[in-house]
Amino acid sequence: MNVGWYVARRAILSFFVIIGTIIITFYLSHLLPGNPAALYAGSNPSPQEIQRITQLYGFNQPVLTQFWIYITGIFRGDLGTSRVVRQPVAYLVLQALPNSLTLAAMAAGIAGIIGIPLGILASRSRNSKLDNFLRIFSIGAVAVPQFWSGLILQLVFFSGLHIFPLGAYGGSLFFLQQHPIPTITGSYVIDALVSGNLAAEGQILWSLVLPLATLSAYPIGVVTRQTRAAMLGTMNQDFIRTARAYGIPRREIEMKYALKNALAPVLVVLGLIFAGSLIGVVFVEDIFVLQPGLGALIRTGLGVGTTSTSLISVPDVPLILGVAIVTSIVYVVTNFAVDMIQLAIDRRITV
Amino acid sequence: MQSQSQANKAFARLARILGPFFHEKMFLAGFIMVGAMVFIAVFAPWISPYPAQGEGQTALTTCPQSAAGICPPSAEHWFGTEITGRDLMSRIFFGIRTSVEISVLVVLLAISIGLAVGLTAGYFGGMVDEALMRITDVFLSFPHLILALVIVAVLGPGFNDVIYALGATWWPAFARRARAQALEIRSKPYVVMAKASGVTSRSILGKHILPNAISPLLVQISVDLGAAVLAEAGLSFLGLGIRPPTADLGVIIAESANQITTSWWYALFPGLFLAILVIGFNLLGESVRDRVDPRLRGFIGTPLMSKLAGRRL
Repeated sequence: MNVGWYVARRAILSFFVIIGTIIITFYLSHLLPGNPAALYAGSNPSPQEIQRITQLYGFNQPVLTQFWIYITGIFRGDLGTSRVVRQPVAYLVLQALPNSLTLAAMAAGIAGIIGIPLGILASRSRNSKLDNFLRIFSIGAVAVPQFWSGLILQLVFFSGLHIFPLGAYGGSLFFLQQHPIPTITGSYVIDALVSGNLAAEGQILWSLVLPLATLSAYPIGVVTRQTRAAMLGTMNQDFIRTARAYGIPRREIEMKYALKNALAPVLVVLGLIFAGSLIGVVFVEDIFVLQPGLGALIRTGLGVGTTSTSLISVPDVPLILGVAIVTSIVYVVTNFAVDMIQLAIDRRITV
Repeated sequence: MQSQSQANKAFARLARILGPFFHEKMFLAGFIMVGAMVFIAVFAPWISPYPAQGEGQTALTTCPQSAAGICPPSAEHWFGTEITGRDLMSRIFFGIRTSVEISVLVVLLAISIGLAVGLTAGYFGGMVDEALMRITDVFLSFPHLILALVIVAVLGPGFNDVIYALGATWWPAFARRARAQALEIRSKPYVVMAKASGVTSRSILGKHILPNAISPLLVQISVDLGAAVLAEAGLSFLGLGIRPPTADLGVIIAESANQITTSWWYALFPGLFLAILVIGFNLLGESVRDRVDPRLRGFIGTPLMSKLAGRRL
């Protein structure tokens, strides 16, 4: 199979996955029993409002027409209007996305920076104390929910030791009003850096230490184990044995020859971690009150407070579906990118 | 007499299969953790200090330093009390009951759908296979908590809806594995013979493929149970899962978030129990998998890892 065909096949598959997710959200919002217009209209809508929305989305038309209205709307960037915030969903999501993507990317980056060296260390001394500790660490890190470990970090480092702020970008909800950052990309971390506001950048990064620690604990475990496995696999191969026979020092073999081969699967893992972290970001943003972000949007869209005493209101369906569609597009695009990176590293995967 | 010796034989067989596992520290640790949590889940109404509060009865207690009935651990309330003055330990015990119940049901639902889809795809092959597996791909490429979130947002939160939502997002990994099994088994001589002698596809699937395909899937179950516990707690944390007054660990942790600066016990204990339950499931799962497929050593099951397992690295 040639490379072009492989790329095309992957691209088509990704496209169909996106269509598939749109079909699922369409089914959930339009075809389940109940009046879909009511879901879009929100709590206590007037009959006129229901009428208007029925007309707007064509809920009284045949299913295929409805689907056409829905999908063409999405491709035009129209994800509907949030009924809680009364603004276009696409606008809200695009406003939230840069911050959330930055967090996910930083988590993946940290996982790489810490996990790869740890993995190399662990592969050097198999079944050593370090190796066993790392194994136990990754078993623990995957089992602990991030919405809990974040709280425990707050408990220790804010309430107990008074080192890090409780949350919010810059440490307080008023920080960004006091230190205005020009909107360039929409991501505070990047914008503060690009606009040269290093004092604000420092504060923002300081306030992100706990959230990022929460987010990257499990990915660090994964990257470590993946690097370890890949290094062990590579170090057993013939070309390494040959290099050794030539008398090349072990350290040089590791860094120059083995690592290059071992890194390919690790890069793939990092890509998947980035995509997978989006879920974690939602929880972490919620706990550390990092807004705007997808976490805050979902919280708004669900219309439920964190306390059990608050009443359930009808969720903001257009907002939730919009977040879901955009998240899955990011997810699919990342997966496609990972495939392409893998292809660039190793042509054999097209076979 | 006959049945007793049969029971003995069955027991001996079970002991022979499971015996070596008990020599492994990891398996033993997982077994103890899961065992303890399942014990709590089953006997929650009897071992909880205040069973009625576990089921939702409010009991406003007052204590000097905290507001809203939240009291620190004391002799009467070992883990302290939560927002409406209910005993936190009782709430946690009943919460574990909810977690275990839901995760078992979710995995059962997911395995049934996964087997049905995977075996059909693998056995019939061709267009059927292509169509079913592309649908599976769609579900697999959707971050599954987001999908569950969408489903619950539309259906409304509640015990059954959480199970449907998670079950509907959980099956693809099982479907892939079942398909791989079916592909392998369908070319085995006994299946070819059965086909040649005119046995219908349905009974081949039921009598030959299913029993042989199911055991490799069981290896994965323990890890999936752990992941399902986490997913359910996550949904409930967001307010999309179990609704009060039913006790739920995710809900307790969500409620504790607002009190984190004043009440350390509130967030700490429910999360510890949640972690013990999930770590237990993962330890069991990993030690079993080490034996069955050593290549996957260290790949603990999460959505991410099950995706990795299907990828060529």
